[in-house]
Amino acid sequence: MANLGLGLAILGAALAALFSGMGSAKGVGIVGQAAAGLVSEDPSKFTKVLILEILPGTQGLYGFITAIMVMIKIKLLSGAPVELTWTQGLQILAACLPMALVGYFSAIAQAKVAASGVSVVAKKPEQQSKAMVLSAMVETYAVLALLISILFILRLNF
Amino acid sequence: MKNRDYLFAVSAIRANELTLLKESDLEQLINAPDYKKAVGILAEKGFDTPDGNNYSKMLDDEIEKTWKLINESAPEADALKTFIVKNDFQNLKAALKAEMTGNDAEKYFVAPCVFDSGEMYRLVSERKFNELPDFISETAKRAYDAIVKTGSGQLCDIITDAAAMEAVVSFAGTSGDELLIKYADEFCLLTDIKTALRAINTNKNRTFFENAIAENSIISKQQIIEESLKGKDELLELLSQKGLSNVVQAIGSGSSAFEKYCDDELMAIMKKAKMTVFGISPLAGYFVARETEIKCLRIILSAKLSGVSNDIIRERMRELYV
Repeated sequence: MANLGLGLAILGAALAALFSGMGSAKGVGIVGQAAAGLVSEDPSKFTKVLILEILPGTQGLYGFITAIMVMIKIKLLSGAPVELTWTQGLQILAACLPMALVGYFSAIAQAKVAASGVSVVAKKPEQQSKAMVLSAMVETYAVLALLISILFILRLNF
Repeated sequence: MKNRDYLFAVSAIRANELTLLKESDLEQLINAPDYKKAVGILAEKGFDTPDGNNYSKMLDDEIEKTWKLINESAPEADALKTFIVKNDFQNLKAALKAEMTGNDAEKYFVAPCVFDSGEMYRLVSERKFNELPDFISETAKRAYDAIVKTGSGQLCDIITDAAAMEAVVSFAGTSGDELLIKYADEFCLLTDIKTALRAINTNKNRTFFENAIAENSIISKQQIIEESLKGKDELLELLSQKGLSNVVQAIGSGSSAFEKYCDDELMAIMKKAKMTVFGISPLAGYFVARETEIKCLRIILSAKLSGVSNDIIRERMRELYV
């Protein structure tokens, strides 16, 4: 059963990195398409749209941080992982779910707002900061999910 | 096609929207002292210089450039054929009449169009109507029969014009885009009303109405025909009952005012595309914007050549997209 606990914990870390990474890859791709369309007509706006394209990429980073936190917690990086019961493993898996799920969906939602922001930059480049603020609002929920996942992981006693 | 597949094209088109003419640009053109100065202002704004007084080709080329830009940017622009399919019916009329009269059809062909106009002419000349695309082959047969049996160019025209309207609605329907469908329905209705009013004024009979009025989803063809045969007041009463009192009011203001009202109504529908980021609507909005811009330029340049007063030109200006 000790192996099952460790397996569940690793599954949690993997899901956090996997879903957040998938969401970010999809999100950056969406904004990238919109950005490329604008740059094809007006290359001078490249740097402005690049910032918008980066925004949905943060969820992938948060998933990566969550996975690293789990690996530190279970001492996987040192090469001598702690022994976990299946309930402890399940607790870690549950702790990773907020980041995994919110990371995936918020990255795509943020990408849609950022892609709309590319249209704002196309027509009114001076309003780029407003487009960024609108897109960053979605980020709030990814940050909250990251905090919850990390707090869970840190507060689990074993 | 998913709505997201158009993101590249939408952004590219948004960048191009910055080059659309604004009301202030039209005002500058209207205030130009003569045709030459107006053409000079257009050249400063990136338009080609027309060959002497023949501005028509220059403006036709602008529409073709717009169509090319949209096609190059969009992964698939079949839905936008809604806006150009009427040109195929125009080309069909030109081909049929050229075939009957022996005149050169080429100069009457319009572009952009869905089906190659040269190929259409060849198929019409060889009477191979079945080889024409499905959306036009039946109409081609009917129009050909009409012109051969009756010798009436007008009957050929009304058959093709009504079929063109129905094709516009059909193409919009297959796109599945709500804005395009609404645009096409309104376009078809307003064209039906214009046709009915002209037919009433010239005392046309039931057969004419049956051939000239297209099916539209807002008011049934039969209702329009029945009321039109009773008279103009009855048709206007029908429009009022259907909640189209604005249309009735515009008709009362004269034919030029009604033409302007129709274009402005269609533009009002398309302006909603400005708020859309995903899907094909922004591309449709841009195409309609360019068409309207070109229509305004035609009015201005033609007025400048014939010395029409600036006030009359202003009255005829259409609502712009931006």
